[in-house]
Amino acid sequence: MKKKKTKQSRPVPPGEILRQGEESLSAGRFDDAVRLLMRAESELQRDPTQRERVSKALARAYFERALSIEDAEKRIADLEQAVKRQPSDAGCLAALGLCHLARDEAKSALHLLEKADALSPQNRIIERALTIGLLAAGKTRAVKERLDNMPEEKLDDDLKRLASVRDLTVENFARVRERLKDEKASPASSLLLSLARLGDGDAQEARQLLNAVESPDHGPDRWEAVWLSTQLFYGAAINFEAGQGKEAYSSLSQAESLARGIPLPWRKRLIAYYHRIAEGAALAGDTRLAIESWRRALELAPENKATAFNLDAALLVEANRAWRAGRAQQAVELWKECLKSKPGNERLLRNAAIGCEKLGRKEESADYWRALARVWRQQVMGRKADEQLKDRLSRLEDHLVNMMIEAGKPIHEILAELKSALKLDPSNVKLRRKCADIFLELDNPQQALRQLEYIERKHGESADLLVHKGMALDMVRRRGAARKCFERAFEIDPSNPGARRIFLSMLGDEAAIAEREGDLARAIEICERQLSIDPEFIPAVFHLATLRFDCDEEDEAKRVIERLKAADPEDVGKRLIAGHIYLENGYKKEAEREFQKALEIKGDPESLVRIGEIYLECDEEKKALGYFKQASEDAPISMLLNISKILFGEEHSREAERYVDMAMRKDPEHPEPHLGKGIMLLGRRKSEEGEREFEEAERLATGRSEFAYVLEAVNDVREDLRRVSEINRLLKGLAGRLPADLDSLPPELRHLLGEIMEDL
Amino acid sequence: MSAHFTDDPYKTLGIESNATEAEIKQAYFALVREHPPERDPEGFKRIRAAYEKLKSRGERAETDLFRVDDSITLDAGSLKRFAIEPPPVTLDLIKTDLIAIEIFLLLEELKTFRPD
Repeated sequence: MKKKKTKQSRPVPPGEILRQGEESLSAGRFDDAVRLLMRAESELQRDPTQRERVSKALARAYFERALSIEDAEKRIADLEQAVKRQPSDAGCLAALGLCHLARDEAKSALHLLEKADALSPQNRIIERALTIGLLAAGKTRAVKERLDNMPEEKLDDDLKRLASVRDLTVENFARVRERLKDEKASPASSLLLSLARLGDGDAQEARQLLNAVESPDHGPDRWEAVWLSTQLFYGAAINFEAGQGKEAYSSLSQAESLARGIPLPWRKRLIAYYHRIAEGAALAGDTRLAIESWRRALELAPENKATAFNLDAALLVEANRAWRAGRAQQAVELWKECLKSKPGNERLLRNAAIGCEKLGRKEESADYWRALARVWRQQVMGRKADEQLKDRLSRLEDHLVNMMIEAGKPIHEILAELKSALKLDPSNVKLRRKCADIFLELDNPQQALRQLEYIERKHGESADLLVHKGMALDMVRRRGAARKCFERAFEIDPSNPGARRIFLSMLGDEAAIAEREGDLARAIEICERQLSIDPEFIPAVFHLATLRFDCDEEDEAKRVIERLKAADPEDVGKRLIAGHIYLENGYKKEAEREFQKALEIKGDPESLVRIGEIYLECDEEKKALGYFKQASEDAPISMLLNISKILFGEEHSREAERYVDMAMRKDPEHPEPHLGKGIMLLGRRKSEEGEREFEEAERLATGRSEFAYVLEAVNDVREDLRRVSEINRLLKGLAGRLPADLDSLPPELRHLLGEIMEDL
Repeated sequence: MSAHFTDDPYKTLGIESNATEAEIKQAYFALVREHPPERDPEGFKRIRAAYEKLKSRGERAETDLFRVDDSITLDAGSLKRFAIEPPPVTLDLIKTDLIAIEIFLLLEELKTFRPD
């Protein structure tokens, strides 16, 4: 078998590696530079012309990398590599010496710094490095001699500062003050003067000076930030020692912010101060300061459990205080903050749930109640004998389900909650009933029946239960069984409003059936029975009077109507109903008499519109329009629109449009008439004009929250138009080949029709 | 807003949330004597309403469920102490800090160092 030839990569020439390494170094990619240059070093070690170049570049790369990292060990390792390759590079020697100094290795440090100084005696940085090395090694006399013997022109601000540092360390505070008094004020000199005062024993003055931090107008640069933040830090430390926790915190937090990203020596001590300040504040009752301080401590050491614990405790105390003072919003935010670290804490969940509920944040409240319910369910499963907990859980579940319904949570979530609750407590009647109600709402009567029948088996029948059972049975078309339930419900408790209403309605259906079958006597009997249960049951009054008229029993019919009015002759509604009955049965004079009487009692536009509506229903258009015209005189826009809707609903679109136009003239800035007009124009197939009206309605409603419903309505209409248009398109696609059943329709068409049916 | 979030009945009766039934009753009667209906009808109403919420186990359970638990306090015993003390400000500490700052500043400047 032939071996497949692999493509071999050409080796990169060492010169190219060197070049790439140098390029990386220039570009600041120090890791790459070190890697490449080490490779170059190994490959070019036999080439004397390149060896020196590589060595220099690699030393530089190590040097640059060392100064760009914070890790002290890695720094020293890199600088040692740099010095190894360039033992005469003063910068590398000085840097390595300073790193040793930072680790308190003064002896090794001094040796390196002296070497550096010998190689580069005129260099200011090396000079300073050696001076500081001598100071750190305790050789203060040597430092003094160096500085005293230095020509004046060489003594720059940095060296003068070092001189002051030296004087501070030998407690020559007067000399510090002397030196700095004539100098231009700077952040460093301000700090040193304050520390000199402190050293002098003048703590009060020192405190004042340390706290008088003057930030430059331009905002401090990095060097200024070093000194200013250190001054703030020491000010904070002195305030802390003087028992001024609040002031100490303020200065500390400023110092920390100013020194962000700068590895200053006192940063390690911040957390201890924050803790002590927080503890002191907490015990003194200043919970807010305690919280702020512990928050800062936690930012510095996020894994510290003691900090987290204390912060949570303080947050809780503050939350409780806020709650008691009526600041529910604040309390809730604090409980929520605590919950981040303790998501299953019962107390927090309950408090947050109650707080959110008080603020009207129902959805959020429901989420917290749910979380609590889950926690308690776990506990109940673990300790079945605890009746108190079971009782609390049961109350919680009941409340939770109500809350979820009020918050408009998705039905499947509510059902899931109910199922979990019933699993643990199958005998909870309230929850089962809720379950049944939801299933009925979801058009799932079978499931509803299961729940209701369970309740019936365990707890016996009740009027309320039987009404719901009847409704479920009716939905599965078991009408006979449904009727029995309604009857029994009424028998058990005639005063139960649900039972009463449904039973009366059921009797009404029977009366209608009897009438259809021509058995008027039976229909009358049933109506009389309805009225014996409820003499003011209007559908029965209407039906009975009509039946009497149909049977030519005019006197009887009128007696029925009079019986209705007798209870309250001044009731406008009853007069109108009486008028309606008369009109419906062709007794126009009597009808008009009743309407006039109603208007005598209450001749307001509402009554006029109602009468107009009745006339319209009875096909007396002229009379109706007359009443509408009367009602429209000085009527508000809502009345005009109402009349328009009534006319439109009864297919008098031309007249309806007149009232819409009237409404528009009355208030040109009201968007609703334009909505109505648009709909009417669509009805007349004038879609472009209709759309213009919708646009106008939108324009007038935008930015006015009271007309948000208009915007919604416009969107709904447009959505309906889109669906219709889509259905038309799909139907055209079928090109006269409509299938026999709905299931064979194209899925998109079925979906659209389904949407429309759902809306209807 | 739910009817639950009205006056705290415990506070109205001046008792702790872990009061016994006897203590609740005692507190109620004592307050009613101080605020009889004929002299202080509003006060009496509030006291009575508070008592209604606590008098039976069921009512009390319902009240407790919808009552914020604000019993936590902060005291020396409930806090966890941080192990490390901030060191006192001494001359030695100042010296160490200042030297460390100078070292830091020098190392920063060395980044731009070029040999003479």
